Amino acid sequence: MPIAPPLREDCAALSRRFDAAAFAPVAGLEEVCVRDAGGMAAGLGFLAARVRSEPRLVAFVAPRFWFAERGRPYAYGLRALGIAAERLLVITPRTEAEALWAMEEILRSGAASLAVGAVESASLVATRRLDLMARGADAAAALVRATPQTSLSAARRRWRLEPARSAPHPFDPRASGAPRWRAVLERSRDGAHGEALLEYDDETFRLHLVDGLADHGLAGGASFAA
Amino acid sequence: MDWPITAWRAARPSPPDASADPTVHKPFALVERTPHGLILHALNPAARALGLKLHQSHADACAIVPDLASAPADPGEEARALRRLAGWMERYSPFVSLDPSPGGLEGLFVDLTGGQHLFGGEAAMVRGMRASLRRLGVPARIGVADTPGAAWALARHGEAALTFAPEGGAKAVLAGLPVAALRLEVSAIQLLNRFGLRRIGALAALPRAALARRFQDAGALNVLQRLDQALGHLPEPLTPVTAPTLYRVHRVFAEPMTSLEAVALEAAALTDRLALALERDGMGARRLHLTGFRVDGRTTGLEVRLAAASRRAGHLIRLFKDKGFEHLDLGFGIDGLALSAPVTEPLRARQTSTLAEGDQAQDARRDALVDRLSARLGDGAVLAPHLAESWLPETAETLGPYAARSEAPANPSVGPRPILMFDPPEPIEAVAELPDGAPARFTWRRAARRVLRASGPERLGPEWWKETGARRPRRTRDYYRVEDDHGGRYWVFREGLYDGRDLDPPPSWWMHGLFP
Repeated sequence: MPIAPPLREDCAALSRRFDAAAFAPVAGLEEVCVRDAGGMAAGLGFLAARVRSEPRLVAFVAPRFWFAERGRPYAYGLRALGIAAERLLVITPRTEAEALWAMEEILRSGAASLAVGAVESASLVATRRLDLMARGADAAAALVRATPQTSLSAARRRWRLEPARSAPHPFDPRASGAPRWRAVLERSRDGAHGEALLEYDDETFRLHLVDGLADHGLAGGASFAA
Repeated sequence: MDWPITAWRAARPSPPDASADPTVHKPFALVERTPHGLILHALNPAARALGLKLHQSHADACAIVPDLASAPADPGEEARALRRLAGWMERYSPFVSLDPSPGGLEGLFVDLTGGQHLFGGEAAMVRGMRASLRRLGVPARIGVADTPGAAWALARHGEAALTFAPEGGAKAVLAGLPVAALRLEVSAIQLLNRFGLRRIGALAALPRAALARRFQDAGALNVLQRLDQALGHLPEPLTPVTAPTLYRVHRVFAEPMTSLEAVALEAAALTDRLALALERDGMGARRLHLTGFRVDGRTTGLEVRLAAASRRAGHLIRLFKDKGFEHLDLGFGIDGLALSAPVTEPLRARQTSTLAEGDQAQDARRDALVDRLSARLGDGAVLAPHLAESWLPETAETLGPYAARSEAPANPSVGPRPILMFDPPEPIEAVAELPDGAPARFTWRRAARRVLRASGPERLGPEWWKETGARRPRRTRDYYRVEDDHGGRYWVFREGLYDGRDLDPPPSWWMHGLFP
C-alpha cells in the first residue's frame, strides 16, 4: 500500500504563496473591499480582530450618513473582539478631505493603534501619506470601501472580505458558531496573494485558518496571535 | 446720548451726504406703538429744541412741529445694539455692564479700575474712548467718578460731554446737579421738587432721619439708597455683560489690522502670555475665547474647547489654527485683540511613576488628539460611546460628544451584541415557522434572505419606569441572532408578543444590527 506523500512539502509550497504571516497585522495602510452590509460587518470584524490588546484608541472615521446607512460601531459588540468601550473613538467628518485629514491626525498623534476610514476615493498621495504616518506611529490604518478599486494606491495589502457560513455551534446545532470570513488577499507589496477561510475564536481572541487539507489550505492547527 | 436714534441710524445704510440724513438737522423722532396710541420714544436735539418731550403722544407732537419726521422704534434692536457696543467696549475693560436702572437702556458702565496705565492714564483713556465712539457715529457723554451712581449723574447732567470727578470729590461735584441725576423714579423727583429740594447738595445736607421720616413709603428708601450709592456709602453691584475672567490678555494696535496672518501672529503672542499666567497659578484652560475688536464697533470671536485642561501655548495656538482664523470676520480691520480663558481648572503637575508612565503619555496624546479634531470638525463630530444603565440596546449605548462621555462601567452581563447597529432599527418583513419563533425567511433592503441558523430569543422588556414620550407604549422585544445562507449574521427582533393580549397592532419585525 503506497504511503501518502508527506504533506509538509505541500504546505511549504503553499505557504510561499500565502501563509499565516500574511494575516499578521502590519504597521501601515491596508485596504478592505466589501460588497454589501454583511461584508462591511465582516470587514470591520476582521480589522478589529487583529488589533492588539493595548490601551491605544481604535478610531472609526466616516460621514454621519455612512453610520446611518451601514450601522454605527457598537461598543458592546466590539467588546467581544477584545476592544474595550473606552478605546473607541468615532469621527464623523463632513467631506472625504476632512476624513483623510482626521485619519492623518489620528495616526500622527500616536494615540491610536487602528484607524478605520470609510473613504471611497483617495489619491495615491493621500494613501502614501496615511501609510507613512501609520508606520511612524506603529499603528494600523485601513480604508474600507464598497466600490471596486481601480485607482493606484500605496496600501500594503488589499483584502476582499465576505462573511462565510459558520460551523454549527458546538452545544446548539441550530445556532451559528464562531464567525467565519472568506478573506481574499488581492494584492500585497510582497507579492503574496491567495484566499483563505478564517474563523475567529472570541475566547482566545485569535484567528484560525479553517481550510482543511482538501482545500489545499494550511492545517487547522496553524494559527497566529491577533 | 439718544441711543435709540443712534441705533436706528446704525442699522441702516448711511446716506450719501450728511444733509440727507433725516436725524441730523431736522426734527426727528422714533415712535412706539402703545395701548394709548403712538408716543415718542426718542428725539434728536433738533426736535428737543422745538419743545418736544419724550412720551408725548405722536399726534400732539405733529401738531406742535408739523414737519416732524418719524420712524417706528425697534426696542429689541436697540438693546441688541447696546449689547454689541458693550462687547466692543471690552477693549477698555473686561468689566462692562448695561445700565440696569429703569428706562436706562442707553448707558453702559465701564469699570476702569486698574487698567488706565495701559492707555496712558485715565484722562487720555477716556478721551480716546470718546473719540473712538464718535468715529463710530455714537455721540457719547462720559462721566468718570468713584461710584457708578456719580458717573451716571455726571454723564447725563454734567456741564461738558466729558466730566471727571476728582477722586473722593464726588460729593462736591454732585452738589450742583439736579436731583434727577440720582436715578430716581419720576414720582420721587416730583415730590422732592415740591419740597424745594432741587439740587443734590440740598438733599445731602438734610439730616437723614428727617429725610427718612418725610418719605414714609418705599420711595424714601429708594432716595436714600440712590444718594448713598452715588456718594459711595453703599456698594452697588453690577452685572457684567460677559462674566469677567481671571485669565485674560489683550493688546491694542495703533493701526487696524486687516490681514489674517498678522492676527494669527498676534494671537500666538497672546497665547504665550496667557500660558504664562496660567502656569503661574497652576491652572489649565478648558475653553479659550479670542475676541477681535473691529473698527466699526463690532466684535468678532473664535472659541475653542479642550477635552482636558491644558496650558501648553503650542497646543492652544494650534487649536485656533485648526479651527481656522478665517472664521474671524475682520471687516474693515481690527484694532484690538483679547484672549481669555473663561473656563479653567487646576492642572496638577503629575507625578510620573515608572509603571503608569505609559498610560499618562497615552492619555495626554489622546486628549491632544481629541482637541485638535474637535477644533477643526466641531464638538459634534468627535464621538465616543456613552454607556447608560438600560436594557434597551439603543439607549444602553449612544454615541455622544467625546468630551462629555461618562465613565460608567459597561454592563458585564449582556448577551451577544452586533458590532454595527442600525439606529433606529429598520423594518423587515419576516416569516417565522412558529408565530413566536425565530424567522425562517426575511426581506431586508429589498433582498430576500433564507435563515439557516438562528439562536434566541433574548427577551428585553420595555422599561416602563422611564418616561419615553413615545406615542404608543413600548413593547417587549424578542431578539434573535440569525445567519442566512450567504453567511450574513444579523440581529433581528420581533416587537410585541403573540400571547393574545398584545395584538393591536400585530407584532412587527425589525433589523437592529450586524454581527461580524
